[in-house]
Amino acid sequence: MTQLFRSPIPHPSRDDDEVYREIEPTNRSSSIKATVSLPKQFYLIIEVLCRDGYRCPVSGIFDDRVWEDAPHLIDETEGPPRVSGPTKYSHTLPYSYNEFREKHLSQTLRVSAWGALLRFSGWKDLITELHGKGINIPENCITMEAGVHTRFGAMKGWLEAEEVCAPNYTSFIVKAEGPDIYRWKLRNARTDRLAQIPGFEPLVDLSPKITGYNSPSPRLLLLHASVARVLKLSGRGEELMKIWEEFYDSETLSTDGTSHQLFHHCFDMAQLRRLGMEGSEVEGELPAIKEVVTEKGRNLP
Amino acid sequence: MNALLTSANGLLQALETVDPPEYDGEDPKRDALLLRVLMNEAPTEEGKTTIAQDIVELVRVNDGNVKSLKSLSNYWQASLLRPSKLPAKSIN
Repeated sequence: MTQLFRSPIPHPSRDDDEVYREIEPTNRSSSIKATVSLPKQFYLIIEVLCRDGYRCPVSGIFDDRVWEDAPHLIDETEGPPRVSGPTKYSHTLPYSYNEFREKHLSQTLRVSAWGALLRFSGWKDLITELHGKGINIPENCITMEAGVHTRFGAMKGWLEAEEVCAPNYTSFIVKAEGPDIYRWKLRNARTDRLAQIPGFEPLVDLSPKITGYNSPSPRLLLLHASVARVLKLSGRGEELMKIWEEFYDSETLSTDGTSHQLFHHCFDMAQLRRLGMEGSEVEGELPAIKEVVTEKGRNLP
Repeated sequence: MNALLTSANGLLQALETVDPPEYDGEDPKRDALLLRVLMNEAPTEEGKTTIAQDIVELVRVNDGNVKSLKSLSNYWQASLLRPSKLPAKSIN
């Protein structure tokens, strides 16, 4: 099987352990505790934040919780802009794709989405690498300022690998060339408020700011960028969002939603047949998907 | 593989010439564009080949009717291009 990531996550060094302790919630104020609203993802958030230098790599904006509660960490880093703001950690491959094992009707939305991702990417091992806890690996996450996070999640913004970079950077320090250098792209450049900052250069350095961590996966970023480019170049991005929102807001044929469920089930089964998942070798790889669809069918009136 | 991509592109060109009234009143150029972009933007050769093969095969099993590509366009829009997150109230 193709290795998804370049190397396993190494154990943090002694210095990194100290950094961890610095921002342990037990030692910090309530503003840092706010980052642990999802306890099971706390260490992921911390790890990604440390790796990214406590800032959004795209905008250069520092995480305001670290800014307020551990300013000495900020001081150790270099490069403008020296401003803070709310940040989130963005999944390159959305977290919502990992809902197969929860008994929720929305999970069948993911069946067709995964099938299409595997076909479009040509990477059959994608689902086996990322299902379950795999979706929450640091290589699938990036610290992002709230506005960047929204655009990235909606496929309105993406990161394209840059082969060689010019040496002039004004957003914050970016190395001259090499791996982990990306260019921030937007579907609609007019909405780019970062570009309104004089001299802003949308070059992004995703290399780890602390040794011992892995960079965000180039492969997943390539997949994210490819889908985002399809939405832009086909001119279907805005229109599709509107269609899907209207579709899910409607109750189709009945007010209690049952016909809506039936329609969904038929729709998903048709897509499974289209994918050739019945009786094919793919079937063996995706038992959870089949279980989900079968379960949903049993629950129908 | 090049032959496959050329065949698929040829079929998409043929789709563009279909009159909208014969295409459920919709614009076939829009679907042709989407399928062409998908084929070009797939991140791997395997992905490009899969999409091209789907196009060629679908038209073949429909006796050369390029209007059948509408279903393929719908499939990609409904699966790959479907928003990953929708408002919570929408998922019932």
